[in-house]
Amino acid sequence: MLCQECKKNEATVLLNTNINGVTSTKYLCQQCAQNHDLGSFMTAGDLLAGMFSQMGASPLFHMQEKTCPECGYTLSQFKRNSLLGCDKCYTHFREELKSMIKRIHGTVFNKPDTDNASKTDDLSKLKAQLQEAIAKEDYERAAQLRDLIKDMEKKVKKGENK
Amino acid sequence: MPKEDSIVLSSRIRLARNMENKPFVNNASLAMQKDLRRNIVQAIKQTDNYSVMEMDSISQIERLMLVEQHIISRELANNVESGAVCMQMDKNLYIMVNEEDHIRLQVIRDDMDFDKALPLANEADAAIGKLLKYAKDEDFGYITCCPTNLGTGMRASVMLHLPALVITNNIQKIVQSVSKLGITIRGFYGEGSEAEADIFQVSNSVTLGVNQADIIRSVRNICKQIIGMELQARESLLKPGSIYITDRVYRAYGLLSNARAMSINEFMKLFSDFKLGIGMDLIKVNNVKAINNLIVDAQPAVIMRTAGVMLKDDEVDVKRAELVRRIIKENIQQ
Repeated sequence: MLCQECKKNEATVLLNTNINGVTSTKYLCQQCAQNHDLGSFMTAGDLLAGMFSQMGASPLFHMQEKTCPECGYTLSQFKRNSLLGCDKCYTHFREELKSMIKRIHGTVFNKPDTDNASKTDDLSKLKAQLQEAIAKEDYERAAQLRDLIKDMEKKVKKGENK
Repeated sequence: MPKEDSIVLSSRIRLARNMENKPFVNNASLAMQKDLRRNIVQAIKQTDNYSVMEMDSISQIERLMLVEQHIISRELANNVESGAVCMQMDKNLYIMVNEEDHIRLQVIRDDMDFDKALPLANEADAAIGKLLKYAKDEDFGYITCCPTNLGTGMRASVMLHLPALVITNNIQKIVQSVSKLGITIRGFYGEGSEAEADIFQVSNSVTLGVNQADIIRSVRNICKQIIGMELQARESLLKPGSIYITDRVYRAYGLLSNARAMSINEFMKLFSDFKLGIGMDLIKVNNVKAINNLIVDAQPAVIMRTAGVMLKDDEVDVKRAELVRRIIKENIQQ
């Protein structure tokens, strides 16, 4: 989300203030946060805590407690310590986690490593995934796959010309 | 001495991996954690010649020493009951088992040559991945206990000595501006730690949506820029007519080479000034790596382990002063 003060930069700081008993919450970018005399060392924990309070405002978190059927871990536990309970938590809490993952990494899609595996193999896998995404009408994913394929095709071409 | 060498202390590649269909360490019973450790260590040992240290079979001093040597994290040292580290010392390859993730594989170097460290890490990772089924997701990549490590599970970090940027009050601005570029700057012992001796750890904060090559490229580029700024700041400190920095460097040299007892805090502060003097060619030494090694060798648990006995704080301070005097005497060019 954008900074609530300058409305230009991505907000990365959650600012809670209490003036004469009146509390307020603002999401700010690093630059605007500086004007509020905050410490400069942000830990991942600080960042996540900010995001969670934002998640708290979403209706998903007011529904009844969601539990991972594989390991018994709950979303509240995750909210408390920013850690998940097992690999399957990512499947069961997928929708709840997506927006937060996007805020941390700027995306929710992994970029395959072209350095380790055969590039042509990866390319055909990606093309299959692209068809699948189009069939599912997941256009955000399709657009990203299209860019990846273009990027990789260029690299493969370069390699052939060497 | 190439100027970069006076600033780069070490670098590290770290890969986080977890096993499929197993609870993460924070959500596993002690019996399950021990079970995980047994299986993972067994698999790792099958891939190559690793020596293994289980946290419950070594002493508190040994655990602390491994932290001070940056071989394991504080978090692993605190997992006394089920943590372990598998090591290949000759390759500087260390695998923490049951840290936050089931596996945290790292390769450490005393320069920032990621092109040498990364293949080593990938090779070890691939060998282990053939024996253990890693948790992976089509969208999220390698699955990690904390979402901040998803995707590649990789962190590339460099330890930089940046005293001139601290003296000239520029470091805060840099810390803030790199955060927009997916880079984090932390203290000496990583997350949540202080920048002792003006030493900072620069690493990628984004791990998903980028591949290994992207991460290396961005960490390397940012580090090069920061190194350039540090060198510039050093030059600005040497303005003609100003003896501020020369005085500071020689005071540190005087104390380090003569004191008979020295606390770790005093040492770290003086060491930063002394090392700055070396980087600025005010002080000449034969072997800068031997001097850099003091940062680890002068830490309390390492001193006790070397002495082979438990020592009180003031006894450690005496040993530390002895060590520092000896190393400086052996390496200084008169």
